[in-house]
Amino acid sequence: LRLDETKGGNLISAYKQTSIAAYGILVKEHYRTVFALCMGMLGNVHDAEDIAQEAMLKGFQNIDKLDKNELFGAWIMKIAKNLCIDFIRRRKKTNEIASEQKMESNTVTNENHDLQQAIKKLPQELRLPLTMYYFEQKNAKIIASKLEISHSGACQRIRDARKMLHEILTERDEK
Amino acid sequence: MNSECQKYKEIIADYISGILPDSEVKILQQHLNECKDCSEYASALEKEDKQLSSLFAAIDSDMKTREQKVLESINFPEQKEKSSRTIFQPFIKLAAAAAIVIVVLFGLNKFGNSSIAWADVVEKFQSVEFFSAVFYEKDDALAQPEQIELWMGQGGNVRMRMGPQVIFGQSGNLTKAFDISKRSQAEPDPRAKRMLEMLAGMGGQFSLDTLLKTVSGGKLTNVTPLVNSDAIISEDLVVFDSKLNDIQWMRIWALRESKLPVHLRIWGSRDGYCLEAFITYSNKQPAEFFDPNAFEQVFRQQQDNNKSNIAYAFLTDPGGEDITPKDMFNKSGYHIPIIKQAGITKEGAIWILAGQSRNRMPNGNEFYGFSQMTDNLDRTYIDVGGAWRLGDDTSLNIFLPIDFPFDNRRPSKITLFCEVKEYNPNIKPELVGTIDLTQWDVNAPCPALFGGFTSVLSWKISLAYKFFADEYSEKLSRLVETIPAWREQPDNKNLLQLWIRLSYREKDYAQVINIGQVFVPLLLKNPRESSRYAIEEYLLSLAITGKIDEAAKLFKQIDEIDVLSPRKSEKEPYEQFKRLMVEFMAEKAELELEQLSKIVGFNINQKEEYRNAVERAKNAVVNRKLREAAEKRRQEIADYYKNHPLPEKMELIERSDKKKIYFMNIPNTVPDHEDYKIQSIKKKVKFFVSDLINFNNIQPYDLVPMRVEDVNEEQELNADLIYKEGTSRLEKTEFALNHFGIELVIEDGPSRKVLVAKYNGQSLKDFKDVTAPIPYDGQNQLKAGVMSTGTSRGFTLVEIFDDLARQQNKGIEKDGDKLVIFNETGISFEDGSVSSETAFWPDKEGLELAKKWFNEEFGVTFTEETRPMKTYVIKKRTE
Repeated sequence: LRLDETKGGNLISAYKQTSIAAYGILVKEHYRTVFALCMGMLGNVHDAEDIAQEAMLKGFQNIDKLDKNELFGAWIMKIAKNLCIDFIRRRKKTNEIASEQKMESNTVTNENHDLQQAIKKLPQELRLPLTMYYFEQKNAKIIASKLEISHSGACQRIRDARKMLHEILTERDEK
Repeated sequence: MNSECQKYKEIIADYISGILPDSEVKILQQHLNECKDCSEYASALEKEDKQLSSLFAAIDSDMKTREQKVLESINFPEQKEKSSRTIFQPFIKLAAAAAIVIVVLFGLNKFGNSSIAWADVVEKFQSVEFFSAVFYEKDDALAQPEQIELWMGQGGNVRMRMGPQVIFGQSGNLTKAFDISKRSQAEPDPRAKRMLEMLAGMGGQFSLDTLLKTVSGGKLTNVTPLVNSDAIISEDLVVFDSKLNDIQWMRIWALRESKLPVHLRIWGSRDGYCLEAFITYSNKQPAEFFDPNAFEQVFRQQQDNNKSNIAYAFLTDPGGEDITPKDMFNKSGYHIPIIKQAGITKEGAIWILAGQSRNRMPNGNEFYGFSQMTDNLDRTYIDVGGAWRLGDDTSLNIFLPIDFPFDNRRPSKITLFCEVKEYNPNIKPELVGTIDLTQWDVNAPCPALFGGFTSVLSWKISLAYKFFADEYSEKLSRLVETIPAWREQPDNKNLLQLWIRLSYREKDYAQVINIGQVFVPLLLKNPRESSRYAIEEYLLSLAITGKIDEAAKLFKQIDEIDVLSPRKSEKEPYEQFKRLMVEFMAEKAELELEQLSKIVGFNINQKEEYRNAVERAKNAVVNRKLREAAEKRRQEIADYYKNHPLPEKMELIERSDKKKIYFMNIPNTVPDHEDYKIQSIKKKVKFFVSDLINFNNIQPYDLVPMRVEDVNEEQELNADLIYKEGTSRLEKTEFALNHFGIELVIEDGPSRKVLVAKYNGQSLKDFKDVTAPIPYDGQNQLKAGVMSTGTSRGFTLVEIFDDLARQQNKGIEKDGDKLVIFNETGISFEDGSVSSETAFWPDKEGLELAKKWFNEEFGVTFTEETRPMKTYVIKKRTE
């Protein structure tokens, strides 16, 4: 999937002028990337769905605030990222409350057994590029541009993510 | 694997990812052909790559469905297109019709001698200060009509309501549009926009000519309706007809004396298309009515969820009638119900019969009678039930002393509380007032005014349910002893249901099944009055005890009956019932997917909406196995300590099979020595360190300078740590590292500026009274001080502080000038919740606002200091 920002820009103009339905085209264009970002940050399909939906809805409600020089793709990603951060903080809070009483048992439950759980265990800065790598047809350049990092930085993170994931899975297998 | 291999290992990941330069690929491939270890490592990564590809492809396969959900949530799918098809085009007709209202007034009427001249109508219309019109339009004979409301005032003011939108305009320009259902400003409905543009031609005052020209788009200016004398039945009305085209005609009713049109209809003879407009005139509305900013203020008030209050904000009725619940409340306010009769039964229950029992809230909700009571004996009373009768606005409340029926004391005074019932637990109920009573009927049975609920047993059952919380378990046991066994009254459905829940609570599943077999026929005898959820514990007990066939039979039995609540014909609530039952069985009975599918009669694995249940089922099976292993290990450790002394603080016991133990839903304590806990360890040295960071044992947050010296981070510890309760994570880590001859040294690093929070000891408010500085209004959610989260249980100061520190300390490792925030308030989790909300505290503005808020609400002040930062060093123990 390639981001076509020029097209996005035209659609936004179209949207602002007359057509609500134009936003539907923006959704179809950008939802997948937004979902991948949420999935990468949250490590959970269900949460990613909720937050990606919230982000698209928020984009819809606030599109008037989008500066004409700003690209819709970058803007909606920023919204999604902020929502994810907020969500993580809320989730963390809940976990911490629970951890007060059952710190030990919670510690062990975090280490899990299937691939999804192993991905979830990756630190967010590695999980995000790894997830997007698989959503973006294994193209490190696209990931670099979407995450606004260098190409070598993206490669490094994918490399680290893969190595750490292997360690986690190996640790699991040994159990 | 040698050091050469280590180098290759670094690039194997890149090779698998397809990002290794071609020049290096060949060299690596050659090495892989020669080296078994690296080849195995590459195969393993390749296998994982395939697994990942397959996992993400599976997730990706649902992307279209997700997109569709987003589109639906944004609410612009096909309906929008449909509505523009049905309403936009007819609106031109509608507007034309409105124009024609004026044209037709030229006609003469057989009942009167006077004619209505166009000039009179124009003049009259110009003199009107305000008019409103309600349009109803349907596409064909069987379609549901759509309603549009329009208000116009002199000076070019327009307000419209179209579906969930309220739209404001001024002199033809759209100023603001709001969506009531989404509680946000909205892109206006294109039809409304067009309508406003058309009305712009009026300029600053009403003009029929402009209206006519505008709304018809110039098409109907030459239409001249004629008086239809056959349609006139009285002198005060003039009726005009006009043929619009071959298939549509229009009729207008106008008042003869005032010369004002009041009703028009356009009719499509071919398909039953119909547009009706009712036009009314009144004195002008208050200025706020046409002011979008004033409307926005009402709109942002989160506590008012009543759509009528919002849709018709500031609209006044010229006849003084109420338009909204808020209008009703403004006139009536709250009142205390009037006691008609009160009594105390011989068992000690107090009942109150009250008139004028209903109170209406500004948001349209209602509450009845009294919410609680106290007496001169300082007893707590439980409201075990009540009822109200709308006919004569009478309520009945029944209160039992908490120790009913064991507390036989009789009060000489009781106090009844009338409180505003809010559904939001975060909001403290507002007291309307209290009534003291000193006289009542003694040993008086509760009046059976509401068809039942007068028996002592029914009250006890109700009271028992209130005691299901753990803190009341003693009271529950004592009360239950006074309640008949279920076999004594096998026809009493309420009694059977209580015993089912009691037995399930005690995990006596065999008993639940026994009662369930008697209960279900009763439930089905009159299903119209029963809830489907009543079978929950029975079904779960069958599932837990492995009676899958019986559970399937029960589920089928319930599934076949429509009228149980929720009704099968109510698709969404019924589907929710099924999903919940499956999820409960997955989690509580730990059933496998095949078993769950068998019970509900379809393959849940193939249904998207059951994915939560499927996930739970998979986890439940894994969890069960883990739990069994943990229970076994606990017993082994207990046996070990039968022959060994317990350690003073902690001890490592190695596991023979090196398999880690997971304490899930079972205590991680040493049996018979509950103050000792077990932590199962299977961890490399490097993960010990990362755990410390994760659990914030090394403060502050992101600023954790760490150094590893002469230590192999890959060493792994496989053992169970037995430690005395109260041992800190840092102590445990140091002890475990010591096993490898490693020590954790904390050194003073470079100094930097910090912000230290201290507490002045002032008493803390009830957390429900503390909220974020700025309420969330759907618009400014990321601004400093705006509420970010709210819960009914509230937040401790530790949580709120942690929130602030996380936001403010962000990036401290890179920015040496940034102040590091330390919590030295001494207020802990145990001090309980201090606020019902948390807030956003970004940047400097957030910090300043937070300082003020923390000081005002909690007496926490911040002082700037310079302190040395700690550096954490992992190295070989020197001794």
